[in-house]
Amino acid sequence: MSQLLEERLRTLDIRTPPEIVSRALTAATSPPQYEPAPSSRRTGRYARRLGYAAAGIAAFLIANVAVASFVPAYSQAIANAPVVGPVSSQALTYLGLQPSAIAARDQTVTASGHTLRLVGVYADTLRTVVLVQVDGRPFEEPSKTTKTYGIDGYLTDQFGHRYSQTFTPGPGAAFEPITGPAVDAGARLTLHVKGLMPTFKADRVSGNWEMTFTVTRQPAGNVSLPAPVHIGDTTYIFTSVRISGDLVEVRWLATGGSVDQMHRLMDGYYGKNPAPPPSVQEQIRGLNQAYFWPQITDEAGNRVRSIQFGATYPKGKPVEGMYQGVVSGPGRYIFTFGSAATSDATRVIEVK
Amino acid sequence: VEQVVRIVARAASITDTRVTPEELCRRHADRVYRFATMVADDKNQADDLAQEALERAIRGLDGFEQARGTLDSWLFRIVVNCARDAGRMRTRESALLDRTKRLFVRAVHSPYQVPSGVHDLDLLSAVRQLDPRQRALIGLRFGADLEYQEVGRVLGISSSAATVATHRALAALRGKLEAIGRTGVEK
Repeated sequence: MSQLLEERLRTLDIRTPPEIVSRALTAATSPPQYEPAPSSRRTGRYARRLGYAAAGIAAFLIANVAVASFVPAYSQAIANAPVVGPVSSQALTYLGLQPSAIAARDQTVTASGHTLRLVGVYADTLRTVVLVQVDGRPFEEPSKTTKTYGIDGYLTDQFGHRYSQTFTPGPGAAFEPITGPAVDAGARLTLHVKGLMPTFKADRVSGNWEMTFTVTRQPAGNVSLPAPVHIGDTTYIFTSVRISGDLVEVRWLATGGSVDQMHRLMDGYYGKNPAPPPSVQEQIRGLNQAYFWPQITDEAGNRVRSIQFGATYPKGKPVEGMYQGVVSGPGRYIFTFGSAATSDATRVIEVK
Repeated sequence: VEQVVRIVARAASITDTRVTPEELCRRHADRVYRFATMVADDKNQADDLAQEALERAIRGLDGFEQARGTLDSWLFRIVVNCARDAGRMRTRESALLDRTKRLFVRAVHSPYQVPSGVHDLDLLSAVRQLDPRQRALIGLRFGADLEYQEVGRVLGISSSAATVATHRALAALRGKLEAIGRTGVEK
């Protein structure tokens, strides 16, 4: 029996694979992601991503692209000679990786008029990092004066698991750590690049670049948890401290006065858009600086490079915070939660 | 610092969102996937596109404001943007509009019967031979089951332009079906 064309189109037997939804939900609930371009459009996208990542809670995440004042002196002195393909040790330092940690690769693919070359990969239980050269340009730190491309994409493994990108700017891109059966089987990953993003520019180049490679997941170092911290009537409990190369990630929970105060400030603006009035913004900013904008310094008091940090504010629950920074190697480092911290409210993180 | 505070405020707005991610997927994943299947070249591309689109939509739920349009048009704008990013559609709405104007010859839409011998895969294959703009129109109208008004909103053209362009796409599809020699017009 024949049918009208329109009716046939409407009744085409197309069945949605069930894993599509679960993958989308999983990917969308992955931790907040950093996006480097500071234009208002991208900021909006970033905020929306954070919105769901917080899963119904208020959240903020501050990404700290290498600003001159944050660049520690040691990186300036590192030679810029290539150590992995075209990647210099200086570029690797930006990612908190040593040359010996990188597995060299050499694959090239061209699309949309741009050539991408995969030159190295690294994976541990905290992140998977790919080093991709764009159009033969040197690997450089993000700069407002030079056009350096970041890649925008994701990874999939041979079992169909998808890994979202977690960190974009600079000479490499980081993704969620390898998980599932690919850990034991050895991961065969495909890098799907959907766009090139000139750092600090808005002219994103869309395209479809794909490269497949294998990588073995290394263990990330765990550090024994420091003792809880009290700042006034606010209490912080460390939940994890992990080391990936020279990248230190610290996670914590906070309860008490400053948390309650933040909830009160933000509660009045749930569901409201645009932003709170300047006076409230100022209070939120002040509270963040005092209690929730952490930093790590070395024993000499030099601040290490902050990669990203932030916190989420689940309603009626503790604040959940995270900090990532790159240290200069083994040693003792001082972690401080905010400007309100007194000398007895700091903790030592020992990187071995 | 102001950007940070804006982020706080935007993120806070999620608490009032009426549609949960799970509900969004339950209600709309099938239509998103049908659209993706029609604009993609194969199943793998359709899977990737649908997943990416749903992920973007979930992440963007707090940006949906009912006062500014229906959930359908908001969602499928995201889906269409995803398709564009994936290279499955032309990037300029104006190209579609220009073409629509050029082809505005009052194409009479005559009912076209597809013989029962044409299988779904044949029909899908014919859809995939259309140009990307036509695939998008077919996908939005018959895959996502949007009204012409919504199709127009999603593509940034008027309802009547969407109607005409969709009819042209159907005519092109009919041509493809006839070309592969599997169908004919039944009287």
